[in-house]
Amino acid sequence: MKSSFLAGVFLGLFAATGAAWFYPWVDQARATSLTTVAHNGGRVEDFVVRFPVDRIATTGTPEMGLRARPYPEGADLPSEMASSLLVEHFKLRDIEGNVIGIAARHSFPAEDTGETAWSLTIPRRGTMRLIGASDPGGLDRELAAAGRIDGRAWSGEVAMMLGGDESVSGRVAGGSDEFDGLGGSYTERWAITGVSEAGDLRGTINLRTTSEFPR
Amino acid sequence: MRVLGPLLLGLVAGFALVALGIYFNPYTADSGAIAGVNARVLSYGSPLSEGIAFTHSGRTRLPLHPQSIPELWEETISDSMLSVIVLHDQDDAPVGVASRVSQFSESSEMLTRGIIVDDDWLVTIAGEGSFYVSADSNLWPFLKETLIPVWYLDRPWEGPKNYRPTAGPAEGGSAIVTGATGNFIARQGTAVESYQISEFDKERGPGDVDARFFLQWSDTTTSLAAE
Repeated sequence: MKSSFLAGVFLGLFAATGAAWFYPWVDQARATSLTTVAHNGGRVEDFVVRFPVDRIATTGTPEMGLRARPYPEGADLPSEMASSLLVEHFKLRDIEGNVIGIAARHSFPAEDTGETAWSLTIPRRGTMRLIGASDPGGLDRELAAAGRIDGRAWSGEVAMMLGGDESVSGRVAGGSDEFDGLGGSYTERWAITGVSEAGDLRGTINLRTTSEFPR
Repeated sequence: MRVLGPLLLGLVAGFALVALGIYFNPYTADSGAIAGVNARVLSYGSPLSEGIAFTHSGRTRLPLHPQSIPELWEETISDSMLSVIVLHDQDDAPVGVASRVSQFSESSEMLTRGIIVDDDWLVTIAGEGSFYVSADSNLWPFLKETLIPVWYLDRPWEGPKNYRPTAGPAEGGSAIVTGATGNFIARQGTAVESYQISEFDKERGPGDVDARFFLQWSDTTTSLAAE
């Protein structure tokens, strides 16, 4: 009887310790990474953001243009913020349109143009970091040139690539887990097909990353 | 029966001993107070009420902020939370914004690490630049002392409480900071975070929170490890 009890205690100790160590307390869903191999080496992966369905929260100082309008209502920056700033958050999709992560984009004016930092967090894969150019008022100018008038609904086609006429918008600056140490470049293309009366955009952002691990 | 009864009793006793060990495990305890460090201190309030935005899958009791913010309901992101917070300097002036994506880490285990949350921050200090923070935060002390007793065991909250959740991935239990743009380009550093929770509501969760983010670039001298 005593030996049965002791055997039970040891069995319980081993089973519970094993469970505490090996039990998968967290088991997240993982999206398949849709990458292709570039002709000159490296891997290419496209990410897509669709407006308006993928917008989570956006805010900025008024001089940052249409996109700085707080969304949802109440997501306001403090009025005391001294310098210009635009922060945007989106659901991130792969090239097939599946939601695979969360993207944060911060941009602010710097010297002639502006700077942008992206953080693309993809559960079970890590966070990819992109650093590049921004043109805070660029989209507003392009829309105005295409006939959009403030306060009125507009539809049409505006396409722009961040970073001007260069072939890249910025660089891939590594990240965490799967993306740790990764380097390369990316392009950021906006295709806008409409703006509501309230200023909500309709369209897509396409981020094409071309990256590799340093040899 | 003469064998099975004591065996089952022993099994329960073994499980109970391990459960007690896990509850009082010093390896998964809070990392302790932060003192005497030469760091830039940025403070912020509860993202649930004082931040710009806070969202999650919609399956937890934590309130969304603003209430109309989209939920992260898709399967691949439903274990994630997004907080967008305003950072204040030591004069309490708003100086920047942090976007923080948190998700439970697969490195969580209850013997040596605790319930680990992977925190990926993108921080912009207006007029200065942006930087990234990669942090492992141990949620177990908060769950053990506050969330589980109050929310699930219906016990009164014994606060205020102080927590230093940052547990890595850098040596000394610090987060890794990587400069991105502006004045922070090509700089590396470490950071730790501390919370003082002065109010915890049974319905709404953390109320009055004083959170501090201790940021130290590697060109300064002291360590942010707990002292």
